[in-house]
Amino acid sequence: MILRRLFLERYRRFQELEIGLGPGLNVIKGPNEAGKSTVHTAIQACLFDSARSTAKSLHDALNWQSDRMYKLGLELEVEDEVYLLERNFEDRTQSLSGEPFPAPLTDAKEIEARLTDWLGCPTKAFFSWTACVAHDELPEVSEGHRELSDRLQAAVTGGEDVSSSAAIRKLESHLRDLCVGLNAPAKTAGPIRQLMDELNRVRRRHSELSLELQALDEDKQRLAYMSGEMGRLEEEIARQGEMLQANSRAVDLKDEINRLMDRYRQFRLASDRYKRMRTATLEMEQLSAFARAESDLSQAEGLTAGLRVQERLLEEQEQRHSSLRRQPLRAAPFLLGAGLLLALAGITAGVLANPYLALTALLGLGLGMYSALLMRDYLMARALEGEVAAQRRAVDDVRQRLDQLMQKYGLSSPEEIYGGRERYQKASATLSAVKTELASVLGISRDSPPGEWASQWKRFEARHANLALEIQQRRDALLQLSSSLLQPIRAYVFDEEPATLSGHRSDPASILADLKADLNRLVQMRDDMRYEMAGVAQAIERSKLDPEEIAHLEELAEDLQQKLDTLLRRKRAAELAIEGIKQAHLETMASATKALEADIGRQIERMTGGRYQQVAIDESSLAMTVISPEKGELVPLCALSRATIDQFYLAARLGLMKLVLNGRQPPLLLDDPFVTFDGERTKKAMGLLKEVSKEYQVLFFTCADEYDGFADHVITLPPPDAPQSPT
Amino acid sequence: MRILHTADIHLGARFLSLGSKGQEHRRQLLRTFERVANLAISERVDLFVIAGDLFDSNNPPPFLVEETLRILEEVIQAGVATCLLPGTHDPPGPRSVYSSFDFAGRCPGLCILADSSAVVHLPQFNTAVYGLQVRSGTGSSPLADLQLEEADLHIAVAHCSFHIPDRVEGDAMMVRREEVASSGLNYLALGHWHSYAEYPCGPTLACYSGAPEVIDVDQGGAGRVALVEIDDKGNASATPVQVGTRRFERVRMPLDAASSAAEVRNAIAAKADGRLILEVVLEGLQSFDLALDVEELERTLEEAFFRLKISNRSHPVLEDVELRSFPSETVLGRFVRLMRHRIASAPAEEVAVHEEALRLGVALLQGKEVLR
Repeated sequence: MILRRLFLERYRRFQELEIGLGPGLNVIKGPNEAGKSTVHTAIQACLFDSARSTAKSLHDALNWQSDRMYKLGLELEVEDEVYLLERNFEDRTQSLSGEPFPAPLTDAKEIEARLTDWLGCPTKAFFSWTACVAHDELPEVSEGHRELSDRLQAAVTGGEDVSSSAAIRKLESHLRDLCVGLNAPAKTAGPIRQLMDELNRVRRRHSELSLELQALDEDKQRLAYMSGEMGRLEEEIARQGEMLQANSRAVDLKDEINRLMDRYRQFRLASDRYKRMRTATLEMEQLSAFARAESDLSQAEGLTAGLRVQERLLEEQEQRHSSLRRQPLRAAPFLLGAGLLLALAGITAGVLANPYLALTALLGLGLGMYSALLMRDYLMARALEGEVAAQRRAVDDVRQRLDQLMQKYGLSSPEEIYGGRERYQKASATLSAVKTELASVLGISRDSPPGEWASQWKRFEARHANLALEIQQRRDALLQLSSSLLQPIRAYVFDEEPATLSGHRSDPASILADLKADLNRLVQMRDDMRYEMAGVAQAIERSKLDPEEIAHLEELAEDLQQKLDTLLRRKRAAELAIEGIKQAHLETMASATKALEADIGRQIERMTGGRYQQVAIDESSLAMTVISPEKGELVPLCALSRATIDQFYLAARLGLMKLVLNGRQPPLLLDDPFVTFDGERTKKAMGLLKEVSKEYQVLFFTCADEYDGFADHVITLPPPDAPQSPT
Repeated sequence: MRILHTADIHLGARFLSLGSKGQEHRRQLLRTFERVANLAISERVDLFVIAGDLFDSNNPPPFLVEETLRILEEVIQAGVATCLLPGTHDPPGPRSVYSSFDFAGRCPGLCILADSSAVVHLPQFNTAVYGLQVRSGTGSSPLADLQLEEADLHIAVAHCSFHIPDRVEGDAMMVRREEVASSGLNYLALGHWHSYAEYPCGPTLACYSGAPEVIDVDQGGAGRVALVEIDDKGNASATPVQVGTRRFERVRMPLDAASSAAEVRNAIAAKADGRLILEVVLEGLQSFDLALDVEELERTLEEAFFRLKISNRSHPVLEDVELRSFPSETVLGRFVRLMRHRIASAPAEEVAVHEEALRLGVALLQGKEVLR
């Protein structure tokens, strides 16, 4: 690309300016403040600044006498075609027109794309650091203020004045700062370590508090559980206690009932005895007469015994007599006669008439015998009648004597006398026995007088008057308890048949002992639990745990974690960037080395007048070394003269420019780069530049006239106070 | 009859997304609850209803419970009948906060609708207030067991979702429009959703008061309570009243058109509000010229907001048209192409960090000061 013409309005010091340019080496000269830098920046602004941009920096170029925005224009020649690039920053329009275009391009992006294609430079910065050479660039390198290799690297980096090595160094330094203390302890830890430590501290504290909270929560759960259990235990204890009490009470009642029953039975027995004693006493009193009539009683006894004998004899005689009297005593003589006649008749008839009629004689004989027997009984009865009468008289005599005796005692029969005596004796015996038994029961001497017996009995009776009631009361109480009683106890107290359960004790005492043992076990459990609950409650009460602090720590941890994640991401990004830049750097340097070696290798002999013939370029840093003819070994470029360094640098710089521009040929803008050079250095540098200008349009800005001889075109800017029209 | 209906206060909640500001916001929840209580007093409402999740958990700090009890005590002492329904965060039971602390002792008039058959009668209005309990099981309705008692007005309190066809269908506990309409209730005070919403259902008005203070992101309707009026005919109407202090906003900011970091900064700064929790998501394609340091941006602007969170989810422009800006023979050009290749082949979770590496490398190679 060749710039043919530059025109501008209201740009910096120029109200209006138009300069013509041509191919080859253009020297644009003027004194200080003549506007060389203005032209330099105007060309860059026209090539790269969008008229639609709102960047404040655009206002830096306002004309000093106007507040209106400026216009810039460039006439360009690209592959023999002429184009006109205009940018009006006032109305924010721009256009690129030319023959090949059917219509002017007005879209900023389209114009930018087209110019990038022509220039090979996508941005102003890229253009500035590849196609522009600043006035201090060469002295900086040749005077050792900056490594040549570093500056050359910057030329292929693609950005502003920065080398990829410097970028890597910055990144590595940044990474180191980030990572201080990560792999080894450090006095002042880096931000990642600091955040990690802080996060760990917060998390540790959070973890501690969370564990405490968990423990507290568990304690609360435990306490709640134990409270529930305690309630149930209390209920169970109460239930068990009531059961034990009811069953014990039932057994006690039963025992009391039994005791009362015993007493009652004894009372009843004593009462019975007392009654018997009373009866016996009365009876004895009634029968006391018998106690004083022993001879009478003996007599009566004898009489009675005699009477019995007499009466028995009489009875026997009467029986014999009565059995005899039942015979038909009056007909007996007649029957005897009749029988004899019949016997005689029969014998006669049998002999006479028929033997069978002799049987009639037998009948007569029988009848006669029977009549003889009757006759005998009759005679005997007559004899007994006398005996019976005598006996009756004897009996009557005894009776009479007994009756006399009975009358004495007012009795009706002798048996009564015997009975009376027996009864008296029996009553006496009974009284004696009962008294003996009662005396011990009543606590009295058996020989005590009847009055004392009576009073003692009354007291005894009074003491036992309520026994039945007491027993009934206890039975009622038992009935009330019945629903609470265990089956064996119930069986025991109600005298039921106990259910037989294998493995269970059924005697009341054992059952009550078991119940009591169960109750004691429950009470022990309750006491243990109460003690444990008190401990847990105390621990809960003592806890100074603040859930708010936990929440705050959690939030803080989240905050720190996010910051840490950001830093770790930055670290990782830095690592990736370093890796990527290094790889890009190596590839670019390898490519640049090849290009430079080819470019410089061709020129070195000519540039150094044959003194140096071989150059070695380091592939990683672009550091150049040459073989010193004196030493015969490689020496760094800085060991050479400044003029030689200039040439090497300029050749390398332009060689790299070719490389990065990828065949594009933008105009090269050099801002008085040789101003500090002496004549020889200037001559050599301009010679090289002249060579370059065959390939690239070179715009050489200077305030000196010494370059005119090398120029294809010289444009002189008017001095600051002169009319603004170049020559 | 006038009711102040609130819910989902979530006292003691944790706000991980607010980081170190979480504590301050947690304190604000209590202050806002006090403001709601004072509103109930100043508005002289007849009934103050808390429809669940007064506390964020059943294990709140004791001082928080003490403060809450003090606030409730003041409301009750002012003669406002107060009903409180446990929610899903503070469910009833032996370990409930309402069992662990002496609510009944401290606030004798407070009605905690903790059991399934909880009914409170307000004799002066002949009104019955029913507490509808949370029941487990998908789609179960809290209205299923409701049995109206003898009263002129019927108000129920529930903590559940409202069935909205195709939008809300699978929640564990829901009420449906038709069952609300046929419930015989005059007003159904709902909790569980944090944004204010009214659902007229025939003669019944179902209403979510929303959370009185913002609890989580995307709760545009939070920060309000419902002031409800039931007229003589039993018709209920609700009015939202703003009580919340803070608000949440999520802004998606495309960087495609942004020409400078200052432009992005100014766009965020324009929203400056000390009560705003702002989440900015930078997205779209970010030009390499846009030297945007998100952390620096966040740091410089955070004072202007209650909480500012900027997430950069934008991607560097890697199209061919941009590649032209990085000539291939330069380190920068090679680096960009190399990273572009790596980004394309990186696993999804590594893409962002590769993109950041690309931005970082490009900025450094362009000579920009981006490392702090």
